[in-house]
Amino acid sequence: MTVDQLGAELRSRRKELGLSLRAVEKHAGISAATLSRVERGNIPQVGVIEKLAQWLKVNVSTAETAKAGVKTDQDLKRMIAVHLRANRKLSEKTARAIAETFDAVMRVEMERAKKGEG
Amino acid sequence: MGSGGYFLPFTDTGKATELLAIQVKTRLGLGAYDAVDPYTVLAALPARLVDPKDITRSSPRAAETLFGEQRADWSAIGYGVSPATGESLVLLNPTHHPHRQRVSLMEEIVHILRDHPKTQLCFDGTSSGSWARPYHAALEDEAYCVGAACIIPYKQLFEAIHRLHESAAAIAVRFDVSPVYATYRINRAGLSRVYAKHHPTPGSRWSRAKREINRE
Repeated sequence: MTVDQLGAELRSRRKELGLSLRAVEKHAGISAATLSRVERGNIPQVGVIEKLAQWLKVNVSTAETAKAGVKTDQDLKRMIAVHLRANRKLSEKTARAIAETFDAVMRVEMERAKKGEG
Repeated sequence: MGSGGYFLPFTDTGKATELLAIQVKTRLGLGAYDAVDPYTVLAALPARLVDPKDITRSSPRAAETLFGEQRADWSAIGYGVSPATGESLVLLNPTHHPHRQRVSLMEEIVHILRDHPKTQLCFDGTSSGSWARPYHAALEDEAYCVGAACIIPYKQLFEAIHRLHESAAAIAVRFDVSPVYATYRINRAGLSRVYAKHHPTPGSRWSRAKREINRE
């Protein structure tokens, strides 16, 4: 599934198991507030995606295409995708670090946009 | 003369590569036989280099991985377009030799201008619990060899070898690349036999040269 479908999957699985957000918080190690935001359609940070994917036991990929008019960091996070000059077999550690830098770089750019530096 | 009135390599693959390089240069507002300095053309894309210090500041753990223990794993990352400025953002591996950074940047520029699909990072939560990505070997190879044709245009390379009998080392100095990269370009342009006529030690096969570049 893509990151866009993560919130709906979380809500459906939680209801199926009859768990509250607090209960999932304990199992998945993600705060109930963050889980609630994800269920409402927010795209979480890379570390949260990892934990959720493991708790749900699903594969999560970034979105295939960009929505028209990327305006928020949510729009950006959904399409973590990079042109990469790297080893054919990228280590898992490097791939995770690259995903994290995507978050970091886009955070800096969004701050720039808010300050009107663009 | 080759197709479109251009001076092109003798081999089919050499011709195809050169024509793609000419397309890239046209998009950058350069002439068919101009050599591209990847740093100079960034503004024309538009694109901007990400400062590695921004990564260190905002994501120290990732910086420690990418600039430290896993520094040999990657050369450049193209993040897509900045929502603030509309520029394409590129991070070069700051631990690599300037020659290699220059080549990596050229490759990223080719990816951007050729509109190559980006790599989708995927997290596998079912078993391995790891991040992975697909690898598009053909696109990576295209970006690399078209990039080389942009940095070292065929016409200039041919004159350097055929008329001036320059060595790979001299060509490397002229185009601000490593001798191994110059050798790779000579071979991919189909000029290794001509080069070997004037130089006792023939150029190595391009694949070997590419491996050596990656080890630099």
